[in-house]
Formats: sequence, C-alpha cells, structure tokens
Amino acid sequence: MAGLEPLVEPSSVAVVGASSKVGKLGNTALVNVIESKIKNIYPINPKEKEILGFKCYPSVLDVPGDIDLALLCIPAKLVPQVISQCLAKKVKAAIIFSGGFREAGEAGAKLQSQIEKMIAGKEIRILGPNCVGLYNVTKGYNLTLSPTLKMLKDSIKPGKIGFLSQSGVFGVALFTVAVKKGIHLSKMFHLGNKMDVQDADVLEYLSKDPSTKVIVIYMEDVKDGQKLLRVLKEVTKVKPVVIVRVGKTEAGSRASASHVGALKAPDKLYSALFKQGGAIRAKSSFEALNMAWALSLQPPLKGNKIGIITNSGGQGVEITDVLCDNGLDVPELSEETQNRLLEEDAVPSWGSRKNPVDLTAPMPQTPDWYFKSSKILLETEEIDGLIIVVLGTPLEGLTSKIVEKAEELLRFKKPILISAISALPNHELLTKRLVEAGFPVYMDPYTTARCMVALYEYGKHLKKVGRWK
Amino acid sequence: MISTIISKARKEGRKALTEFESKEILRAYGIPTTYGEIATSPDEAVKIAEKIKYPVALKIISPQILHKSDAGGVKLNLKSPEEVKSAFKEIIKNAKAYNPKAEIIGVFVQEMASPTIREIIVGGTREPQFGPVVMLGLGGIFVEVLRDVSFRLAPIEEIDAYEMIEELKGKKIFGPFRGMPKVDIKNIVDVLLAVSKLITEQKEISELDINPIMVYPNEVKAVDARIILV
Repeated sequence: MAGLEPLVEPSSVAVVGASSKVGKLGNTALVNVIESKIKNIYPINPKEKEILGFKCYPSVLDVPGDIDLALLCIPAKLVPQVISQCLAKKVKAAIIFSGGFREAGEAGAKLQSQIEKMIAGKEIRILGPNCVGLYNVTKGYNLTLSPTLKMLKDSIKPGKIGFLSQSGVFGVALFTVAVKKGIHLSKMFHLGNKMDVQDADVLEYLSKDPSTKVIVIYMEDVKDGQKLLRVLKEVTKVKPVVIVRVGKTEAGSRASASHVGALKAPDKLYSALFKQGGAIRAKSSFEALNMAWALSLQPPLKGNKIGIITNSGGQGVEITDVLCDNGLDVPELSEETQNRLLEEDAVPSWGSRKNPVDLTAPMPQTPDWYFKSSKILLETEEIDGLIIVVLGTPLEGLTSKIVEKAEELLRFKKPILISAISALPNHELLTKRLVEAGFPVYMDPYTTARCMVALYEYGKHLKKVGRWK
Repeated sequence: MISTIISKARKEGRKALTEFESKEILRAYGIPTTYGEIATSPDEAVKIAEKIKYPVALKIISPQILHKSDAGGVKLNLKSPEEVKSAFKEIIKNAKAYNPKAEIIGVFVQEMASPTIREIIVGGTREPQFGPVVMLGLGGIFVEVLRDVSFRLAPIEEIDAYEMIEELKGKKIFGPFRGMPKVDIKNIVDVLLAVSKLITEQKEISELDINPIMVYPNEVKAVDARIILV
C-alpha cells in the first residue's frame, strides 16, 4: 500500500466543489489551501472559470498537471463519481470531508461500501469520509475544513507532537487549547470514518516523520486491533505514544456508535492492546496532551525515584500520593544530601530537607533556593527525576535562577516538571518564562504527577524492549 | 488428532466439544489436565477408577449437556468401587431426567484433583475488532463477584504472560500464603503461552474456557474445559 506522503505533504492540491461563496465548505477548504501557500492549487467547479484568482477546472480530469491530493467538498452522493475520476487521473490521495456515510445509517453505509470497492487494490489513499482533515504544522499546510484555525495562524508554530484525533471538532478545539498553552504540534489528523487510512497508517507515517517526537491519539474505536498492536510495538520502540480512549461505559459506547459508526468492544481489551503495544494510556484528552508535552520536552525516567522541591508542604503530599500509587517512589534523602542542602544554603534553616524538600513561604526577596536545591538533588544518585512546585508568582529571587540557568539543570538528563499554582497577575508571565527555558509547566499538581508517571512508563518500556539509551 | 475431533463435531452438527474432547486438545498443546477415560458401564467405571487410583470424579459426557453440574452430572471424591458404581447409575439417571433427548456418550472417570484455594481460569476468545485474545482470571467461588481478570491480544510473548499475572489484584495468593509455599509462576506462564498458541493457530475455535485450573506449588492441572467452535 502507498504511503501517506502525498496526503500530508502534497505539492499539488485540487479542491473539488471549490466555491467563492464565504461560508461554503468549498470556500473554507480553498482559502485554507491558498493560505498554506501550496505550490499548485486547482479549484474544481464546472460552473466557474476562476475562483479567488485561481483558474478553475470542470473536473480533476481537466487539470493539466499531476494532482497529489484532492479535497472533496461535495455532497456524499456525488463522491463515488468524483472518486472514479480521481482514479482515472491517478490522483495520489484524497480527503473526503463530507458526512452522510457509515455514521448516517444504512444508505450512507452502502455508499461507503461502494467507494471501498472502487478503491480496493488501488494506489490512492483516502482520509475520511466524515472528517475535518489534517494540518501539517511542520510545513504550514492547513488541509482542514476548519474555518477557525486560520485565525490562530500566527500562534500556530511547528512543534514535536503528532496528534491523531478520532473526533474532528473536538480535535480542532484541543489543537487550539494546546497552541494557547504553548504546546505545539507537528501534525494533526482527523480520520473520520476511517474507510481507508487507519490509525495504524498514521502511526507508521508519524514514526518515520523526523519532526514528530511524540504521538498522541484520541481514540473512540479501533477497526483492526491486531494491526494496531503490530504497529504500536514498532513505533513505541522509537517514539512514545500516548492514547486516550473514550467510550468506556455502556452509555459512552452508545454515544460513539452514533458518532463515527464506532463498534463496541470491551474497554479491557483496549487497555490490554495499549499495554502490549507499549503505549501510555491517559485518563483524559487534556491529560494526554499534557503527557505528550512532557515526553516531547523531557527525557524518560530511568528509575522510579522522584525528588520534589516545593514552597508548600501540602502540594508535595498530593504529588507524592499520585506518584506512589503508580509505582514511583519519593525516597527520603540521605543525611549527606540533607546536610549539603543546609551547608550550601539551598534551603532555609527552618525548611524541610527530607523529600519533599520544603522551602516554605514564598517571599519575593528569598534567594535562589529552587536552583541550588534542584542542582544538589539532580547531582545525587538518590533521585531519577524532579518535580518543582511553585506557589504564588515569585518572579524574582526564587525562580529567576532556574530560568537563567536552566541548561545547568537539564544537562543531567533527568526529567524536570514544574507545577506552578497561582492565579495572580504575573502567573502567565512566570509560566511563559519557565516554558521558554525548556520546562513543561502545569497548574495542577495532580497533572504534573501524572506526567511524571508517563515519563516513568515510557522509560520502563524502553528498558523492556532493550531500547534504553 | 485435533482436526479429527473438530471434523467429528462438525459432522454431528455440534459447535460445543465435550470435556473429553476439549481436554484432548489441551493436552495436545501441552496443558496438563486431570487424567481420565470414558466408561460406558458401572463395571468399566470401576476398572478405570482402580487404574487411576481413588478418589476419582465422575462426569457425564454428552454433547447436549454443557452445564454438567446443573444436570446432576458430576460426582466428586468417590473413594470405593461401590461409590463409583452408584454414582455412575445416578449420573445416567439424572442426565436422562434433565434432557431426555440428550445423547449420552458415557461417563468420564477422572483423577480427583486435590483441593486448593488457588484456582485460576484461563480462556481464549476471538473478538471482532481484536482477533484472538487470551484471558487470565482468579477462579474459585468469587470469580463472578471480583472479576479479577487480565487480557492480552494473542499471540503473546513470555513477558506478556508474566505481566498478565502481575496485573491481577489478587496475585498475592501465588506467593507464600497461609502456610502454603509460593507457586512456581512459570507453570501458569506456560499455560497462558499454550492457550495463546492454541487460539492463534486453531482458527476453527471461537472460544476456549479452562475453568478451573488448580494451581499447586510445583504444577498446575486443568480440571474442566470447554471449547466452542466458530
């Protein structure tokens, strides 16, 4: 079967059903393609001569050059005819945005089967139907029907996370939330009814994609579990995969069946599949993105011993509980290390030095305790990873050094996550500084701990498959 | 041998294999089962029992009777020729009363597995989206209540089998427990690997249920088994 390159990195795109009318699907898709600055753009519409300054063709068969990708912005009943034209033209890939197929009852299912038969054994790769499309952030190619993503054009920057969503609109919403948080994607895919292109195909593509470091999947169902397992086993040897799977309860499964024609299967089998394949299962979609962010910025955990440095005892306990429930440990520091912390003025004399290391009340004038204590902990063999909890918004003093000298902390190749908890005016600025210094920053201490669990699980997996470097 | 068993069942229009047939298939894959032979008369039952050594268990073998206990078709812990003879007669009587149309092949006389609270269930199924699947669960009286089970897609590797055991909430019963020495987990791993191989290779089998398997410190033994064809 052909690869997904023409689908994701096309140099020539035909928009079938292109329109100059704002608000029409064929207009939104065309505008997105134009703004993506793709080399050859061919609007297809038998009634028009020119749309938005581009020469219009009656059908793909009339286009003079080769077509890598056709975007189908036409009603479901017209799709089979256009697909047969695409086959005749040897179009390499297509995205069927239209709904009205398997998700829409018997007649739609018949239509989908008809197309399945047409493309069986052919080279063409098809995304959808009933999908939002894909966004190749690396190249800046917006191949979606989303009218909103272009509004964020300036904040969407190429990142390292490949995102595969089974829900279209929700996938786009998550994309925008991620962008706002500074979590940048490399590629986003929405597969819709998964008639041809499956999760496994996208995983294979992303695993070879040099700009993708971590893969996130928002999943409702799987069509061929054995195939997904085979691919996951290969992919997770080289890149972490985080999956959130919804539709667990019976009511959840019903909602799914009416959504993308998902087939019901017991959730335990999904857990088994993910575990066997070495994927990390997130409990929610936001958690999945947060975990992927941690995995994209920080190395996996080598052991299970975590150091916590906080300026409030309570949060240290909350994080410790989550870590210990998931096989990690927050060991008491040796006397030697505790003495070092005191002697080197890394903690106040009234703070706790056991682990969690408690720096106590945040005061703007306090010295660089976070930096000094972090460095001492990272230098010992007693911990494999570090969580820094920052309450309030101590922009100067406490945090300025970890921003300035982040390199000195990150070079230990031990993961460092930060939980910054505050709603004070300077919070966003503080978060931004820490993120730019290379640390994933979360508000919620629970989320921070869960992300450390993800780094632990991936490290464990790499050791299991003999890929620990 | 396996194909003979399956084609015989097919010829007779059966989807369910008998316990005897199911155990033959398990043994072909190296899964230890309680030993036994089929008797068609009380005297023959005694002869087999003497060979196996008392105590023995007697179970009805009929393609139409899948829930043997419900039909009064199981007698356990029989210690003498007299007990075996009367159990044989009672089982036949009960089976005929339970289902007059049931074809009775005979009575399965088998060694009595020594009792232990360490019981497990191992199963294999074929699922539409997942293909062959292996299941491991804690057995015994609370199996329905606790549902302490773990799954993997077949075929599994040895490490998967160990992880399946590790996933059981009640895995501690395999360690030293109430004065009993710990069990050799490798024996459970071997059963899981065998079931994985079986459900992967035998495409005509849709469901396989070994319940219970007795787990002793140095061996395991399948006491009852059921196989359903696709």
